[in-house]
Amino acid sequence: MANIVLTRIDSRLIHGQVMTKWVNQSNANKIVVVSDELAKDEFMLEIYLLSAPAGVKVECYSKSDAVRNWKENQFGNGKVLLLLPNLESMKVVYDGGIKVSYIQIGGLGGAPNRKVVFQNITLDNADVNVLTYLKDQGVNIIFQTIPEDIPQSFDSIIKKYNQ
Amino acid sequence: MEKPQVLLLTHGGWGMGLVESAKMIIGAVDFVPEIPLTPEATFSEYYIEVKDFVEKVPPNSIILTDLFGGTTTNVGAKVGKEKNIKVISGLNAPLLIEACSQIKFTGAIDFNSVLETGQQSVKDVVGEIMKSLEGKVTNNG
Repeated sequence: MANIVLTRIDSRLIHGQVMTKWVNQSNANKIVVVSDELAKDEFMLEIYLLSAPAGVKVECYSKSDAVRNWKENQFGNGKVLLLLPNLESMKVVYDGGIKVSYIQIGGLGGAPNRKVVFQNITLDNADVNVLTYLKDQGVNIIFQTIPEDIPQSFDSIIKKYNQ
Repeated sequence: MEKPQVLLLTHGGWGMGLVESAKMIIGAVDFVPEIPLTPEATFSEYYIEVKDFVEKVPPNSIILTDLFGGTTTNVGAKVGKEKNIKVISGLNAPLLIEACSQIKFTGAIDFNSVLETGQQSVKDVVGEIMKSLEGKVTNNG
């Protein structure tokens, strides 16, 4: 079975920060993207496949296919960077059986009803509910956009959200 | 015919600094707009901004992006395909200067030659000079 070396929530999915920083930092050799939208978009998927660093495989699954693939063969082999665009998807695959123990929130995009809590990370009430749920399940949650940032804890971020 | 534009898509907007410096070489340019990717922008927000802009540019304009694999290029790819506009990643001074010079002198862009100029502009400087010198020694001797 594959070893999930990093689980990251990032609404931009594969982009500069992930490619140049986190792939190296986590020593991953496979990026598994979970996105219903991207799994259906052949053209955009191809640009993500083409932009992966040499030696790094990219696979993309819908939420349901990701859960199925995990149950069948745990994403095959390799060191996996699991990448999801939002917390709603994270909850679905977690409940579906992908029980990761550590989640990094790396970027959650802005919308008018969302509150900035750290750099380019914003949350709304639905996100806070999912985060609280995952924390209660024993998942370690940290907020960090690039490796040079000091990781922010769940408690400090929720405190900021509630201010 | 309306002059084509060179739309820059860069992380944080460093392209405008490059344009300012390029003016030292090519003189004034008024056809190089930029849409900076800010840290808080999502893919969708940036995509809409770029798409709305590209709908208003003259035909045969091009997009230059900074980093293949980055959101600037990912968005450029999507808009380029949808709006039938060419996109080159790896923005650098020679690439920008070539595109601007062509527009200034001919009023149009020869896409392939701009691409080629950009591709050939990255060099191992001392290495190439030494190799060239060695070639001369061999030829003379």
